[in-house]
Amino acid sequence: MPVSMNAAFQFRTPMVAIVCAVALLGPASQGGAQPVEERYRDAANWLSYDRDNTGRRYSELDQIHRGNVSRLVPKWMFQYSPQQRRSEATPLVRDGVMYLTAGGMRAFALDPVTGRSIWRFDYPYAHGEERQTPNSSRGFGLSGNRLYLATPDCHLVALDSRNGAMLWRSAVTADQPCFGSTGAPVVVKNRVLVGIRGGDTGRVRGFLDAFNAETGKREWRFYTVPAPGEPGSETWPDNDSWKAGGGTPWTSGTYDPELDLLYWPTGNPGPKDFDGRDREGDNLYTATLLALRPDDGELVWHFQYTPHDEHDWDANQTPVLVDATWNGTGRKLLVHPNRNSFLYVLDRETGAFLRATEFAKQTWLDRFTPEGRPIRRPGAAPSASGSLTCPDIHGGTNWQSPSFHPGTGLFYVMSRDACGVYFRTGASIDHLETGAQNFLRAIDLASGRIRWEIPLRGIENREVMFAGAMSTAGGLVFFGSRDGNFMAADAETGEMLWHFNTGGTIRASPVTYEANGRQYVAITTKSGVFAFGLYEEK
Amino acid sequence: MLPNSLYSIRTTAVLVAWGAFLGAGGSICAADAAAQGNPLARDESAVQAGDGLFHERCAVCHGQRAQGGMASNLVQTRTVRRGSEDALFRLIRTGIPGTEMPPQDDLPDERIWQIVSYLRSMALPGQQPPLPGDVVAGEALFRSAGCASCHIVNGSGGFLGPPLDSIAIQKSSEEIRKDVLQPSASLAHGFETIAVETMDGRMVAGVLKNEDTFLLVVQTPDGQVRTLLRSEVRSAEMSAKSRMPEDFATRLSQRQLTDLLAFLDRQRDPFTPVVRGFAVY
Repeated sequence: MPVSMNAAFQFRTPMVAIVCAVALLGPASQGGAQPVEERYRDAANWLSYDRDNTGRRYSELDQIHRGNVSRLVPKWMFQYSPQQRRSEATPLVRDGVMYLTAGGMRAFALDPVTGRSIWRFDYPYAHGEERQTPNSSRGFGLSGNRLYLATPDCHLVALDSRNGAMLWRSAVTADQPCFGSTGAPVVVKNRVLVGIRGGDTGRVRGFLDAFNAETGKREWRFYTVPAPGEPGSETWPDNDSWKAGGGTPWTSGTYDPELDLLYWPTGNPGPKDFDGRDREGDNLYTATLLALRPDDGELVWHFQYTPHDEHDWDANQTPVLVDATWNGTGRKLLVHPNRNSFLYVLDRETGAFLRATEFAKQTWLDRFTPEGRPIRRPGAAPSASGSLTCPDIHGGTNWQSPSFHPGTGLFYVMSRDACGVYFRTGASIDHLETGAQNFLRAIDLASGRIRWEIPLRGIENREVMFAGAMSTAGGLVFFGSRDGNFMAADAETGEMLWHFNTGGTIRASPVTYEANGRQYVAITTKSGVFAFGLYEEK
Repeated sequence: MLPNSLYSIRTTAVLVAWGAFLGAGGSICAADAAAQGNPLARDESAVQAGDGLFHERCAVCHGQRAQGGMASNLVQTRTVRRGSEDALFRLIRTGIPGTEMPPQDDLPDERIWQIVSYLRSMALPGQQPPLPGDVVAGEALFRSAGCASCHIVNGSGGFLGPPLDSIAIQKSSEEIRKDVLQPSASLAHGFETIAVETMDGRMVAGVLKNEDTFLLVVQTPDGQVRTLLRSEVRSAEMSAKSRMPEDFATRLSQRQLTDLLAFLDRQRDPFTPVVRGFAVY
């Protein structure tokens, strides 16, 4: 499959790089030391949502590589249930066992070589408790013999990884309506971190909770919308909008052990997504990246990508930690492909804005200030009669995982060129009319420019996409698409090398692991998980 | 081919969930208000109020005119078209557990009824009074004028166009009239035509039944299904035109057109599955 920059149906977009600093990435980005915690260094395992604490979704495994990926065949499939409508989960793999959530109601341990189940867990809902998106659990957190699951009824549950027994169950929210918790919990320093969803309901004030990993006792809570009088409250008007201010941290964060900082993105403001007239101001800390101390939730710095967001663009994409040489100096970077169509590079020690480049079609931004504050173009805000603006409500990318390959220096983003008409009451989308198109794009972190792109073709790939990417030391990038194709491309050149039709829509990001000395690649689909390995003649 | 602009059901999951939910409707805690039927009925002000409320709360997922987006196309949904209004009321109030559909339990009854009134008004085509005309003559014309060579009605007809047994539920009489007289104005998803030239010079023309990053699936007029790898395709051109004749306005007398539209207007079979274009489920 040739890589095309001019494919039919492609939405041609002038890609204007907005460079606020001319950056040169040096050797540190070419496979040098990265800030990976020791417990994640065994390449055979996949121990957290994005494999390790950096969010790179990159694996050192190289048994499957450019030269043999064409021999990749399905080794097994595990089907959760015929009732499953979709799954967004990333399975974890440790020492010969795979742990998989199938919605927030059910979980399994599987043999990662054969796909046979080891145990099954069914979440015991109380009558009337069942609420909201049980199929949107994005996976477990894992530490020692404990698995952590966020549930649709807003609880954090600890399971014994050896038999699936429930050890404890703690309420994540008790003082406001529950709209579920869908992100994979993150374990940092014997604390389990979990956020909530529901920012679009106009009834929630977002927060991130930290629970003791052993006892399940809550140790701290950080509200992403400050109460009157608290720092940041000056960015809200003198009314009650803050009580339903949204900013929900509904995905997973990342962690730098050297700086001892937790990085967590937040969602869009409320109470109304597209009508900000009753919440004049920047609406901190919505659509923001938070740098928090994991011990007590202290806010060390923050960077708000989209102040006063009126497009539901939030910021719930993976903050990826990369150590690299930047303008000749070793620097701790945070790279964030934002739903507002810009790839941001921040200094993760200070939160300083280094650069933002356009990676998907956008029409809303005029320019950035040197501090990274966006200056909007006139007419981009939602209006009573509708404003045509790019990206559409689903954004230039969304919650699906990006991947950074330290060998190629490329950042892989499942991205999307699409526009929508924004009314104050909501967003209207006609993707045939606006010529929407999904892509896998490889962005050179040194320049911020798109090195290559693969358009995902067919009418199905004009619609919103939640399939993610993963790269490996085998020189490959694996990715999925809405129409159910699971694919592998050359991580350096973008040449398409392999694909397989899973037969069900993919709304998850790939993983890879090693078991019995063989590398596998796995992806969750609508109703099951597929594991692939190299064909072997008996 | 009769176009079908209401193609945009992508998320059948919610549809299925609706069906399952309503199937188990007896076990759902019914609000007392829902046992009374819609007190607002088709009151125009209620429809307008419901329109505003729908845009405020529902359009983000269900589209500006309830024709689908992230969530299902409500105009085509049986629950909205033909289910009881009480059930619709309960569903809006309770939400659909296990899906993204949240409860609207903070709204007073009257506001929920307004949404019900709005949705029913959007799905009204199936409730319109029958069009005048000679239905028997219209069916004869449907068969003799070539419509049946592409469209199945009452168990017989061709396969290249969408079946029409429930067309008058899916569309208003005005839309059907426009589809007959201006068939290329909007094309039915899943029935678009394509002309493909392969690298070795073969021409393949037919209906595009599926496509992805790697292949095209084309059904040719003889009924054969051909899978063509994009890597072996020199060019592929979607037709902006329907395969339907464009001259019914001049070919048919006013009387014949009236009879044909009357026949089509009777195609309100509630048990005919809605045939959609390809999608991944």
